[in-house]
Amino acid sequence: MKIAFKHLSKYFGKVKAVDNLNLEVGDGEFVALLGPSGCGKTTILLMIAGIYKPTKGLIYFDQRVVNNVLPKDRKIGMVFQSYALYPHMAVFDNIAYPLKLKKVHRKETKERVQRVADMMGIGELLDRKPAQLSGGQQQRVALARALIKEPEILLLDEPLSNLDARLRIMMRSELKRLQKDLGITTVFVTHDQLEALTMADRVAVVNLGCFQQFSTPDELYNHPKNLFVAGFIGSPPINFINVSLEKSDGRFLLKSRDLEIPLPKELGSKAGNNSTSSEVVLGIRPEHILINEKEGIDTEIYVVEPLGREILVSAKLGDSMIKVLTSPPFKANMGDRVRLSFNLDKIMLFDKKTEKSLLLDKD
Amino acid sequence: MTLRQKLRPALAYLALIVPSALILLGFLWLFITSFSTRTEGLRSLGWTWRNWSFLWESPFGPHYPSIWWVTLNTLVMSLIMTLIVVAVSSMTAYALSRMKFAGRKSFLSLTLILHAFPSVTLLIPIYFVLLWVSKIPVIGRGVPLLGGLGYNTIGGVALVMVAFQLPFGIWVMKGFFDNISWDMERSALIDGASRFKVWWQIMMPNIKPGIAALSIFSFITAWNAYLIPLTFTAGRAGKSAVLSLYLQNFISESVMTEWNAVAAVGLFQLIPVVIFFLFTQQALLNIYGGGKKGGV
Repeated sequence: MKIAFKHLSKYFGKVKAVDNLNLEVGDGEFVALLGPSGCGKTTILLMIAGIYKPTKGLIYFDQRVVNNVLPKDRKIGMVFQSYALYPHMAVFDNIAYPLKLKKVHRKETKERVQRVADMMGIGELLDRKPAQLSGGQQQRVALARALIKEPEILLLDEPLSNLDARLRIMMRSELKRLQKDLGITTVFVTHDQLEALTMADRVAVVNLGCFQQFSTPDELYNHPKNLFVAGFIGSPPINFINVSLEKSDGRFLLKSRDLEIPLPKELGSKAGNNSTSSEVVLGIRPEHILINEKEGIDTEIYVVEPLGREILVSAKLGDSMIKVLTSPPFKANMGDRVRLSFNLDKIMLFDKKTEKSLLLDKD
Repeated sequence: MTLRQKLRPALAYLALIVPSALILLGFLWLFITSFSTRTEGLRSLGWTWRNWSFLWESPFGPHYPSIWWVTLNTLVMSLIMTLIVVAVSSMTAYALSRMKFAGRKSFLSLTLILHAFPSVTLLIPIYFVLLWVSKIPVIGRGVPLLGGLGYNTIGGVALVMVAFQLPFGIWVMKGFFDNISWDMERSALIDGASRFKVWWQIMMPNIKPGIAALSIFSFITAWNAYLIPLTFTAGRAGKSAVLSLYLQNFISESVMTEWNAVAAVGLFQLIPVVIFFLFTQQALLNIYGGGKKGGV
């Protein structure tokens, strides 16, 4: 089932939790809503579920407007961050509850519960109470309860955040696989960029109740639309350097007190056309900087952090710190002077005032 | 173990034992007195069953109701009040805790004011209300066992007690509902439950300790009630008498008070409360283990 928002807004009193959203989720697509806590992503999810009514705008399931459809009639399954299991019921009754409310026959209920429980690997635990289960098992019960109705839309609210690190990585791949196998349209809320990027087909980055960007993980990482997305996506985070965009002899230059980078012709003219002033933020990801001894910007090594597969080097450039990812072996020590050169194909430029990318075609 | 480590629990026990002993001493006196002809302090001056004779013959003459009838009255009144208080407060509290509606805040503050309101000032107006209710056919005074809901009926007294108990009940229950996560309720709504089913199948089983606490509280309040039954029933040993009024019959100005009989009836009134408490305290103390391990 397809989901679409048209100018969707939700206000709590004067607070605009969600403001004028437009979005389309395709049939069978796995979409993540990614954003810092308090950005409105759970509010969006609860509006899809029908728990909150939108203040303005429309929600479509396929061609149908569902604003006034009750949660129980929306054919959705939802897994909450707290799992929201019913503590007074055994696992079987928890999973069977949606069927019980639909007055499904006892025998059929039994079969269906057993089937979905086996699929989730909790077939042995049906007699237990939720309090007797581990976090990972509780999550599987919650998932089984959401899936037993055979919903057309699956909503997941931070489903992995209460699991320990190892289990989280395991469930990440299991959830992704399960979603593809069942082909259920899934909307998934998270504040963890790694979860969003690894699991979702497309990611909507949300901040302050607005979509910042809605695109594939690859687009998000390599062509962020604005400063917020560039800064939010990526770990270790992108380096931002305040520079001025200047023109001399028909070529564009990025200049600050500590550096001067001539831009390739195409890049420079694009940035020059799009910018509203000469104040520009240069963004460069740590893995797109090369460390060498001969050419580039002169810096001093502040600290070296080996991460195993890679080495994270922090270098001091004027007042700011530049993070560089480089592969071992790396010999220089703290205090040594090194030179950095930026991969100009990978740099990003943002207007300092509007915070928008200068390198994307205007839409 | 050092002396200091030994001293701490010893002091704690001392602080618990002394006041408990004082209370127990009172009960001990009650027990000894009820089986004695006379007592001197805790010493019995002769044992007897006579004080308990009210169990098989009315001490005030045959045309007065027997103790068993009075006990039944008290039981009916207490049960009715407990049932209504728990049912009404849990529904009201659910709405107040979970739903948005106009006047919600003022309703809440109003119940709080009512809770603090001195009930004595309302006795006379309520008397007139009950008199008026008595005039309604059947409901007024034609119901078996209850008598009805009007003046001088068990039902009427229970109704007034319910009114006085509700504000407290609503606040207690609201506190318990407030502690249940919204997610559980939302989950049930998505699973297909109606609001009523959410309340009955999901919320109520999870506030069992609250229901138990309020039941115990209401039952004991009703069982021990004195002022309201006294005001709204006619005659201390009438057809609608409850135990507390029955007890008062023994204390009169014209005849020497038989303290030994008073002790026996007092003890008799106490027994059901103790039994009730023994059964329910487990529910009260055993705060239901939630299924939210690892949850928020």
